[in-house]
Amino acid sequence: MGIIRGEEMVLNIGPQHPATHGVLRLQVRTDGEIVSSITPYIGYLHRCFEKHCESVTYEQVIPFTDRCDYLASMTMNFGYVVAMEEMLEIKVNDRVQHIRVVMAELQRIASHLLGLGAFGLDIGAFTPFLHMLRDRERILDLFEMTCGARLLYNYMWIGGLSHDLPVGFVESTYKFLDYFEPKIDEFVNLLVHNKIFVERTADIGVMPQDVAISYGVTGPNLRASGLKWDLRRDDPYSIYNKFEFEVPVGEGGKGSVGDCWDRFYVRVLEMKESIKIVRQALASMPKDGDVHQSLPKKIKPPIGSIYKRTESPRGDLGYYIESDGSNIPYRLKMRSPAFTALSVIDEIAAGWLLSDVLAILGSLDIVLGEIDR
Amino acid sequence: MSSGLDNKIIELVLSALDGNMDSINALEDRVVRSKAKAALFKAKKDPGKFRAENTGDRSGADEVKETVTSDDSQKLIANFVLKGLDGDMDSINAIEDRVTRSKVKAALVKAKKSPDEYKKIHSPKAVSDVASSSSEVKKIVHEESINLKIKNLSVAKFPGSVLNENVDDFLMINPSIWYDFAIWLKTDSNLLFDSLQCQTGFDIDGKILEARYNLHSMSKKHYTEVRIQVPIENPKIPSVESVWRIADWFERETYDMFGIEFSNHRDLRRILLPEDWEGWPLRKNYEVQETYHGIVIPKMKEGWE
Amino acid sequence: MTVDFLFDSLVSLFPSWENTDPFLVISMLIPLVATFGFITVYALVVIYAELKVSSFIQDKVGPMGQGVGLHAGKWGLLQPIADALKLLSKEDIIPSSANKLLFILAPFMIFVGAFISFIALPFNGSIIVSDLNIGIFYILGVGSLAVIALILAGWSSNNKWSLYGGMRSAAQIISYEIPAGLSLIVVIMLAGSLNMQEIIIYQQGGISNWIIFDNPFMPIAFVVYFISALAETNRTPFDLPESESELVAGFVTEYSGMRYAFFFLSEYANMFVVSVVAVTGFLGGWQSPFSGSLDSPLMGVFWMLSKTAFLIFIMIWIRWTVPRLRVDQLMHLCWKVFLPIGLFNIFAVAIWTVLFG
Repeated sequence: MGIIRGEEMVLNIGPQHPATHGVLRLQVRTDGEIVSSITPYIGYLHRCFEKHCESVTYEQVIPFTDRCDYLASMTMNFGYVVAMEEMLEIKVNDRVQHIRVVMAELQRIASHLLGLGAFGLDIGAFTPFLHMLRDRERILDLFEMTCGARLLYNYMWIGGLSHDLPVGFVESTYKFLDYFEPKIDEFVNLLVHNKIFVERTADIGVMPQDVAISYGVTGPNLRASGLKWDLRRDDPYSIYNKFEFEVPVGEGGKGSVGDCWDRFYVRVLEMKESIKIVRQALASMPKDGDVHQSLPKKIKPPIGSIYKRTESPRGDLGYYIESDGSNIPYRLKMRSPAFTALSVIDEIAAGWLLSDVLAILGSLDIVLGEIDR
Repeated sequence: MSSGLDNKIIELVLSALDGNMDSINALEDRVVRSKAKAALFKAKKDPGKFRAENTGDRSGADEVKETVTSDDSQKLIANFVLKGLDGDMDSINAIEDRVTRSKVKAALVKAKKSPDEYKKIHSPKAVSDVASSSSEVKKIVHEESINLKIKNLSVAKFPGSVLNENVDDFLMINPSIWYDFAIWLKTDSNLLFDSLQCQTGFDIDGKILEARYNLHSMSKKHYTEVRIQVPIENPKIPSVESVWRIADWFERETYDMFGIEFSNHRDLRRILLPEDWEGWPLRKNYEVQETYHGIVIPKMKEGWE
Repeated sequence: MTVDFLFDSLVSLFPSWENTDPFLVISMLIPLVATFGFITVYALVVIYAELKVSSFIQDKVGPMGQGVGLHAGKWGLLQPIADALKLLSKEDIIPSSANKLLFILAPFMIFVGAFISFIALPFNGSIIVSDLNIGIFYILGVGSLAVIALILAGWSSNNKWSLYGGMRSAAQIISYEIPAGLSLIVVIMLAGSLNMQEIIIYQQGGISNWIIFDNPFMPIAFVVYFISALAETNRTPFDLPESESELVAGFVTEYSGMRYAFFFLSEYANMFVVSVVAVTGFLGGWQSPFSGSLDSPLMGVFWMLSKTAFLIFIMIWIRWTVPRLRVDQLMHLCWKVFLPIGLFNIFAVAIWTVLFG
């Protein structure tokens, strides 16, 4: 059966559109429902992060990193302080390291919950979204307990943390984990094996491994394409080499490797692994240790540059920091994982139907704050 | 106390000797400041003596646990540096005496350049120490060698392409052959740099624009950094967006922020800023335009900060 | 039937009047106003039900409050009224480049389509506005009026999303009318009539005589009809014409205030119509499930409404549970799955009736 070609229509998805996860404009050329090309226009949320960093001191950059990926602020802080500590050659004590890992992994769960829920919403399933927000709320409660903030924390400082853990945090976290672990299976039943959901996601938007690497796609999106690449395992920072955890990869459970369903399921499995890490970190966390012990009095890194990558919920988060010896960064570049993930959309989503394009966009789990910076 | 100076001035002079002039300049009291500067002038003639005299006295006065005399302070420092080399920074950070701590850190930075040698000279039990930290040493050697390896391999194919002598941290590449060099980096069976991790621009003192490429190999698991310098008057670098597809967007961003023109780029447009924005914001001499579409852009910092 | 009854009683009340035309008008107007009132009240109730049911499914409490003036009244009962008032008081916006006439016409047309279906809906043995002898055929026929209205709404808005929504809904409703009609043909074959009341009377004598339990193929016909009805009313998983995450709001993107309320109202009205048809055709209509008991006329209304409410509840339940289909999967389901099943059912039931009936 041949394809009947009609007149092409240019359709602007966004900047204000329910499925763009922020202010993103996708200019798509459509022939009926079939999308022939997608041109993303970004920058609507550009807040001059890198320019700002050149006028504030190193420690004042941390709140800015919060605001880049506002759904995973802890890991954004984490990546920056790890890079700065390597530059300044500060070694923080074990308690700080453990607290940081606990926070980062809880943040990963929270971020994945919202990402998965929003993906479900893009497919048209409203209820899982609210179920996942309900559980994310409990993680935010834990964060609020720790540092008073629910979204933008400024919790990790260069050489330490802003606060020690409050009394009862460890117990509350254990309680949350015990509550949350069975809930994952509920999500699995509600969405992962749902016939309509599988129909909508399996074999849709397949991203081959070489395309993913060439486009610099990292994190769960790359792992869904079958490559076992996780900086926590392959280039361990902080104390991740101490913990036992699996790196889940896409296996094409319902379709082919690297489809939307894989990208969804890898995130579900990653939440389970994060729970494992949190449990181990809580168990081995030293009772004593001052979280302000290694805070430097004055932050003046030696002249030179560093490029440090960490694993954020969206992929490899890199900070390129150039120091000229003063207390202000000469240049600070953030390599954002969602930026690279969005750039692949034309490659994998062209040729699909309009509904699929939005499903693929949802499966990439982008955050516009981080793309535009 | 050899001189009649009070403790505060001694402290200031000591920190100034370590290169920290800020604390003296920040003094509000003019008399103290001038005294300190005078003392500094004297001390600079023979800093070693000044230090030995004053630190020895002060450490005694401040009840530091480790009694530091001018004789065995060297040994103590060496001890800490060895600990630091083995990754134990805590003990260094726990030193209460600031001067000793900064000395230890300075020595540590030097020692890290050639940890093996330092250990051989200073360590009382050199052999076992080297064995215990062999994995770390190996890693460093490995990272160093990949840059050297690229340089050596490139001599045959691209003679004179690597411009810098010391390739410990990065490779400075000649812009004219960069496109072919990039293809070679990606396809050579010894290198296989299949992933462009990060690409960014730099403005070096308003004269030179630099593009930096952080490359990684997913299969070989090695990592390198490539830098390309071009004069700011004519910033043209060959585009590699057809080699690594992500370079498409990265180069657009660098173009957007620095105005580096990537020749042969298929679609070189601004990416984050509006199409009709004037100037290159991340250049050091950037001036914000007066108005944008009739909207006055506030210049005063109080206006928006 | 109600019209006839009213007319006859008016004539007998005023036998001296020569001209009976005013009686006819009055006897037609009264049921119409009553129906309109019924639809409004029903819409408020079902909106409240939708809010509450969805809230319980989503593990939240939904609209609630402590008293009048606080939040939304006891258990949030005032929430639908507040929603209605909000819609009524909203600014009415007509896009400058829209086709004004059609833009204004579309919401009325879609509501009229839903409204005139109510004429043939039986609530018990005697409460039916007009007992048409082709009742079920009439409902299917005027149901298609919605397609024209949706295309008008989509096209006249001069908005690409609306156009997508209009086109999708036209394709969807026209397609799904076929399996729905095929399923009802089986019912008509068994009952031997197109008249709603006669179909219900055919099923008298308790739950075992309901058409759905008549023979093994009827449950299949019922499921096919029910799913097709979901598609015809644009409910999830078939809400493609207004899928909010893809087409912003589909054909209602440019509508606001009262005009939007008409689309809203007609969607809920359509849900009621298709549910009543399903109850009439398969679940015994206003008949009691227990033979010979609880079958007074008032109980008839109760049975009719409770069966309908149950089906509407299932529709809401489905809406908040499953994701949305894609447009090609929707068509695949209709033409390649339901259509063959529907045709097969006709033959199977025909043979069954000849052999065992």
